[in-house]
Amino acid sequence: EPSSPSAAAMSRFVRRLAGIPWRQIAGEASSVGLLMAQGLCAVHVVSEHVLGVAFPRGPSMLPALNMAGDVLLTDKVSPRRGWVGPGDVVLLLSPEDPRKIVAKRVLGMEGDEVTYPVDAGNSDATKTVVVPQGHIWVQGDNIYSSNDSRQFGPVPYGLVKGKMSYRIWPPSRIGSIDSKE
Amino acid sequence: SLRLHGTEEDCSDRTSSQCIRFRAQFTAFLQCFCTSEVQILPVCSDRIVLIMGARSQLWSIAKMSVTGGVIGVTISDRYVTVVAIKGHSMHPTMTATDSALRGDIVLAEKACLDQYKFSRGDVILFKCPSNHKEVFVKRLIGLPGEWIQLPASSEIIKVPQGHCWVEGDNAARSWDSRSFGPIPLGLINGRVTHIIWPPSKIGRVERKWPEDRIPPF
Repeated sequence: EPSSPSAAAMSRFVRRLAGIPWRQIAGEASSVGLLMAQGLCAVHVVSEHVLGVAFPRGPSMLPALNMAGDVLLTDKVSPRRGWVGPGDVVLLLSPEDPRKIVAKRVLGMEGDEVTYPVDAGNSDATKTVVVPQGHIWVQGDNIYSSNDSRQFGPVPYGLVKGKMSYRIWPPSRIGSIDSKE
Repeated sequence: SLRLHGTEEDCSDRTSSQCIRFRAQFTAFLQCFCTSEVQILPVCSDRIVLIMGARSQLWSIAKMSVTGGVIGVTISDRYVTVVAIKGHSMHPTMTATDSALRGDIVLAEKACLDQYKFSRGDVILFKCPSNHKEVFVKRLIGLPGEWIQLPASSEIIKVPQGHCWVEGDNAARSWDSRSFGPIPLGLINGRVTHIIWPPSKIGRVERKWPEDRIPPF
């Protein structure tokens, strides 16, 4: 027999606690958690190995890509299979900072001769290089404002992470990205 | 077996003719989708138990393997992966033989790829700069921005930003940065942490500095 009102309230609280179906709640929470984990894994597999989305920013690919606000579909299958060639716009890890992903256009594959303006805007001087084995030469469309192979040299093909060939936003520019040679 | 929850408001009496007609129609409908015979048993007033054949078992095995595969690929991409060593460039730390089962098998972690923060002496996996389909395993000798001494000559070179200098432990049989120069950090696939086969070599792969090299500065 409880001796005081607070002890009575305490025992009522404990009884109510015992009445909550803890096991059922734990079971439902873990099955929802498992479903969410499976969903996240599926999203990872698709966006890393099949088709992803990219939001490129910066002036180096004008006029093909806007400075900001574009949303592009990234094909992740093509680079792995080697279906990348001159004229394609690709996503690659920057050779100057691997945490940065940059979008550039491929101008030459291994063995190709690439002629490029050395100092665009200031002089007409050009240089010709042969792309080494396993490497590619990338350049931004906007040669006046692009940090690319003219500065950091040809990059290994293994740095290419995706090929962008289709824009899905803004609505006025939905469609494929032109592939220039 | 598949359990369907449903309420049969007008089936309070299980033997009523309406109930029987409903069950017959539903059975005929489901029979179109099942290769084996469909039976509906009125177990209780709000449950219908279906007995389906072997086809649904195959389907659940397929579903489980796809789920397992997806989870496995995610773990292997983001957290930890298992790699078999081929090649002798890291002898004696890791050895390879002709058959994959008797060569060393190692565990590589992927958490280091988040910030690309490595330490001198780490053993790393990376894509070959001249062939993106091949993966090499070597020891990291020079970090970005460091000056290192080339072993053969007394030349000193600077490792560019975003790159690293790698060399194999077995200098005589290692094709590494001494031939193809510093590699971009973006080619790195993971860091080797443990050897898990053969049993005699199970243990951590320690960060080690080669004995006769001057540390970089």
